[in-house]
Amino acid sequence: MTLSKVESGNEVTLKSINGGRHLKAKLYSMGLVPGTRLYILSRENRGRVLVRARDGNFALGYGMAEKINVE
Amino acid sequence: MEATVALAGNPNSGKTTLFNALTGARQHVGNYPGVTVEKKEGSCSHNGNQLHIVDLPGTYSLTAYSIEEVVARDFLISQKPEVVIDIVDASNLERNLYLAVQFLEMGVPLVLSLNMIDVARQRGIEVDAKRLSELLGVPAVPTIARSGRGKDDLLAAAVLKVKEGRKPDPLVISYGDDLDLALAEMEGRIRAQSFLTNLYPARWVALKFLEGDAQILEKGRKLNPELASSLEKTVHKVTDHLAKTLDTEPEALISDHRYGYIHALLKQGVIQRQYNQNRLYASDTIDRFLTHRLLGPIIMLLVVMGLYKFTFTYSEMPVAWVEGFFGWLGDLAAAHLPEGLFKSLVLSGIIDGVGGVMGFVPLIMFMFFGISILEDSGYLARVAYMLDRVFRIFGLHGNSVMAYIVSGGIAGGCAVPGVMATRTLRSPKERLATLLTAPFMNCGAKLPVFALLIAAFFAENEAGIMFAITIIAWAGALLAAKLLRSTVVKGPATPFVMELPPYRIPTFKGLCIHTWERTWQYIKKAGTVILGIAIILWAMMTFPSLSDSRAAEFERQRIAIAAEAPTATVQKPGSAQEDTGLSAAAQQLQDRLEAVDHAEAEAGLRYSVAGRIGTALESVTRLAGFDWRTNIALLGGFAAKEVVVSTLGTAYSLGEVDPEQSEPLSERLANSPEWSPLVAWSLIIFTIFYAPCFVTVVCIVRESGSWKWGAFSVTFNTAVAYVLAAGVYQIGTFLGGS
Repeated sequence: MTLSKVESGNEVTLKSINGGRHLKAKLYSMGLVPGTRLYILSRENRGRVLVRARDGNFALGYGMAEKINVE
Repeated sequence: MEATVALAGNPNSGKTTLFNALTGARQHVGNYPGVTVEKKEGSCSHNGNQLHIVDLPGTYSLTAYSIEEVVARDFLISQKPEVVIDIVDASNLERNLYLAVQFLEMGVPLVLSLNMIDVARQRGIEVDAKRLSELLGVPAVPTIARSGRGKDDLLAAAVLKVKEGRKPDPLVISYGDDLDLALAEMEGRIRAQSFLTNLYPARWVALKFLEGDAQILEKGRKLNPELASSLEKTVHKVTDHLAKTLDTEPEALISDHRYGYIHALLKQGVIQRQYNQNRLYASDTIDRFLTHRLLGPIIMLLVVMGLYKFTFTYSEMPVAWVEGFFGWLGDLAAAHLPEGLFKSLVLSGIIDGVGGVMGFVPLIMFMFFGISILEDSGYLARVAYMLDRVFRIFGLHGNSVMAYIVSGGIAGGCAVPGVMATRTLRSPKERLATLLTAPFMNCGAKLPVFALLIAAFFAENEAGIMFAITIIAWAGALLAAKLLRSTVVKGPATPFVMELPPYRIPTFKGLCIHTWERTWQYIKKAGTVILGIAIILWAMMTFPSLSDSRAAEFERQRIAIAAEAPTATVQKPGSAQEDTGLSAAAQQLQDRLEAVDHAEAEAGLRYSVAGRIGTALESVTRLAGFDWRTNIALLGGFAAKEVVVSTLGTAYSLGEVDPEQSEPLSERLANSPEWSPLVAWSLIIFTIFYAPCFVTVVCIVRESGSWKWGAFSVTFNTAVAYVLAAGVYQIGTFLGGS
């Protein structure tokens, strides 16, 4: 399942990221590595999400949320 | 002792606040050599030790993927600061230590500033600084940058570290069997051939090869192509192996193990939590409202409107004071300088030109103060998030929002750093579309033009008009971006991710420093660049002067008028101020004489170089309602937008019968028959959209890597501006608006 599909209020685990080297490196450095627990603060429209992870809040656009596989 | 101290840390770790607390007003802003990343430097002393403090760009990591990270890394290698203070957010320790660990792997002498220890406590997180210090082998000092607490202890620890003078051994982290094996083998070869080891630790170089770090790979290939390619071969093998056995790649594994290392460290009694890590806080509740799908945008518009209301209401008095001061200065110069060109230069060129620009300093200051509040509180980050959705529609990216805001999205920025801020955009197409449209925003230099016209024609609804101007600029920029993205720079959209900092109440000191920094830049520009251009334009508006025969003709007219009147009345006039005591006949005579003077002054201005250019353009610009004086001002505005105001000031002062009669320019315009609210609107629209100033164009050329785009922005923007302004003026005239 992709992150864009998760309704707000749920907690999921990041599994993998579909993307280029650069995109991955950026997410990793922000703390979004496989295994990270993500709490969905809000989800809008098609799947723009605000998530809480490792004591930080992140805003992810729909395209980004689509590239993140969670379970 | 003297030493250089570098401040490093994640974005939002309180680095800037700590920098301000340490250096106070002793700081200055520059650029890192060769790149356009801002470099802040300052100094402070501790127990007689002189410390030179450099603020490194805020980064999450030390890869070669972003310009900021490369800058930070290169500074550490080339400048070798005696000590690096890494500011870590104690309420966010796990992610902040990710950067600290990389510094340690690089073998950098480090001191940790455990910042926002108070926020951490509020969130039920207790950090044992002593334990952390023992485990990492570096000093860790609890601080609260906002109040300056722990500042002295931090400096003491830094000084101690410098005095130790020992280069620490690089930290070694285990990256799992596969990678450790490869690392050890590569490290051996690197050490044997002293490959880049004069700059970096051997294991670190191996690690960077595994991560595929572009900068290190390039350096390595240049230095020793053979070894570089054999190392790359090893990396290839490991990468293949990892893909087959673990379905992963080196970078993911490296990140994973770094976090694992940090996680294990924190579990050894460093951190104690009262609550679950993903517990919600006040900040999250606020975000429910402020970023709400419907409420969020409404609140955002109200905030901007409120900012304008605040700026215009409270700056009115100080603006009047500054205008009064320049009026007084003008009177003083008029009374004491001998008649002639020099007097004209001082009065019409400098005081009416530069003074017009300086008059808006209080307004600019209030605007910057408001923007600093939005920035320091964390609200601007939410604005970027909310607008990302809108920006997508127009083919832009969430990061374009920041470039727009820096360029003057809220009014009062500058397109130069705005264009540079587009570097955070990874997609070249989105970046190009952003940097071509960002100059449509209302920078601090356009602000005086709007403020002038608003004061002259729309004084009853200042904030409302400013708000409308902002909306027009954004709408125009977004539509232009859409046009560009669906024609010349087509391409797919890239994903958006951004960390939202928690809301914070800004500190007064921080606000003052930020406001002053920006205001001072405005003043400095007015006193240097604008002054120079004002003098050049004054000369262009003064020379060549009327031929003797034409001057004589005006003189003859004056004599003729005087001769018609009875001699008694001719004696009387002279000082324009005393017109109350004049008889009707004398009043009439004076009016006629003034009309001749006015005609002569105007003929003189029209005859000058600038006047001729302005007149030549009139046939085209008349469609938009601009007369030749406005044309001169707009041409001058290509050098710098403030010049529009200073040139109008000079033009109306030179064309005036009596420039010593210093009424503010806005009143001169309001009373002038050539001007009307419709002309003002037309000029406002043109000013928003026409060619960016020269410096911005140079910047566009550099950032886009081609003169073509610089030329494009000049012609495209001016064409758009002309069509819109002419449209407004023609439709307005047709509808009978005046």
